[in-house]
Amino acid sequence: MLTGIWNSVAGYVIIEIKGKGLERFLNLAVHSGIEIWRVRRTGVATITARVSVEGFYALRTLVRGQNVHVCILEKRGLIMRLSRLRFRKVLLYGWAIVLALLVAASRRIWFIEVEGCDTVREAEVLAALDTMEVRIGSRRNAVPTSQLGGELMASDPRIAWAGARLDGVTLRVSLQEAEAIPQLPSGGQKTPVSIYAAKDGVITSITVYDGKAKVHVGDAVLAGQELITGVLRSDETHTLLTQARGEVMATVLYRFQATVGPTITKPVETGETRICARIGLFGWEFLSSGFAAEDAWENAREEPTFQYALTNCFLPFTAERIRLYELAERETSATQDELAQAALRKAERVMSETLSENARILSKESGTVWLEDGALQASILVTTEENIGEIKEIKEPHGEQD
Amino acid sequence: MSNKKRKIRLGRRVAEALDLPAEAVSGMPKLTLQGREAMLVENHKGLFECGENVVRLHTACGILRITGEGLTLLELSAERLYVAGKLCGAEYEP
Repeated sequence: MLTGIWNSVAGYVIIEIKGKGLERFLNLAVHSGIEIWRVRRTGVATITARVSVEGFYALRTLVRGQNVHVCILEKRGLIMRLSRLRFRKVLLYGWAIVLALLVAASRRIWFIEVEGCDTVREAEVLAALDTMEVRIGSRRNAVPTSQLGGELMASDPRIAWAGARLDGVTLRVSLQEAEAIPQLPSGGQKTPVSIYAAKDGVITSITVYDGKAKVHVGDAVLAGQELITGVLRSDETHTLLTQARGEVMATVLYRFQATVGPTITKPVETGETRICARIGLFGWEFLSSGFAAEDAWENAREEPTFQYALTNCFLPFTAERIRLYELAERETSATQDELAQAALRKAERVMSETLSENARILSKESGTVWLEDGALQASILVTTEENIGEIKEIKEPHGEQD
Repeated sequence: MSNKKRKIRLGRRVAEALDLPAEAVSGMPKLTLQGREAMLVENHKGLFECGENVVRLHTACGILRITGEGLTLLELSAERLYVAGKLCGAEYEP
């Protein structure tokens, strides 16, 4: 097998030997040390065989004086293929240049990937790398990946950890952003304060940063009740006060009501009508009143009387003839459903204006009730979870109750 | 006894005593048959005939005739010959 591989690399030729005394010629060649293989009789006076390049040149000297003729049928081997390229110098030079460029290019960084960006933008990381002379096109061995992480951390306080590694021609930067420090509620006060309940509710969680909690999870508290006290110690000798800091989450129950009726304001047809034509072309619509260029009513009910569409072609075209009914806002009686919808909309509006942005709605129930005067009252019962703590100055220090 | 025969017998005795392969000392042909597809002949003395259905070799024991179909000499050297094809038989010509 190794011999076959070597012959394929070094090259060999397939020859045809014609003449008389072929066996004698073969014996002569073999005893001369010429390597011949795959000898096969192909005709009465014809033999094909394979011989190495050196062996072929040696055969030519043996042919003299013998009654045989040797000719080459085929040349094989890597050397043979490459020898054909010796006349294609531009191709060879091109291969050499491409190979050199590949080798040169593989020594530089061509891609920078940043992972873990959330608050810190990728552009900021790339800009920081640029100040460290690390950019696309930089040499790979000039990038100190072991130090790059530390320098990135030092460049931006939002980065808790950073690491870099080279993956071929790609520089992969991994970031771990720092957790944001919770902003404590502070009014810039210098006097001792406590946290009181701004609303009634049931405590779900208490986080005390400074001060002393006066309630526990599960306690029902009333508005004005002290939740976190700034009085750390109070006795006959002296009192120790602080500015209470913390977050008290509680479930709060809200009830919003709205009454409408028995009449409501809604758009009603005035009786005026108008015929218009609408033409659509490439998604644009042109509305005309009759064939005159007049603006249609802004608030109008449309009723198509004729429609034509040609959309299955290169030119999407629609045309329709519509009757417009003028509408105007008027106080009028309404159906039960209309009253209910109007009352609920009003109650929802009150709810959205009252609830704070940080309140998380846990449940919401709505219902309607008919009043004696024919009006409809809608009620919405909402349960939220929100921070009910409110910072206030300590009114007077008092002793500990526990 | 002629000197030549005496030398041959002496050589065989030496080979047997030293556990040397007999064909290496005596020059007798050694045939190694692989199934019915290939045969290795060692210690031949030259190619006598090479055809598609028959190959004849000079050996120390006479002319060796190998018959078959589609015979090809995969390897041909001064002392070794490797013939492949559909072998039918090998015999010494009288």
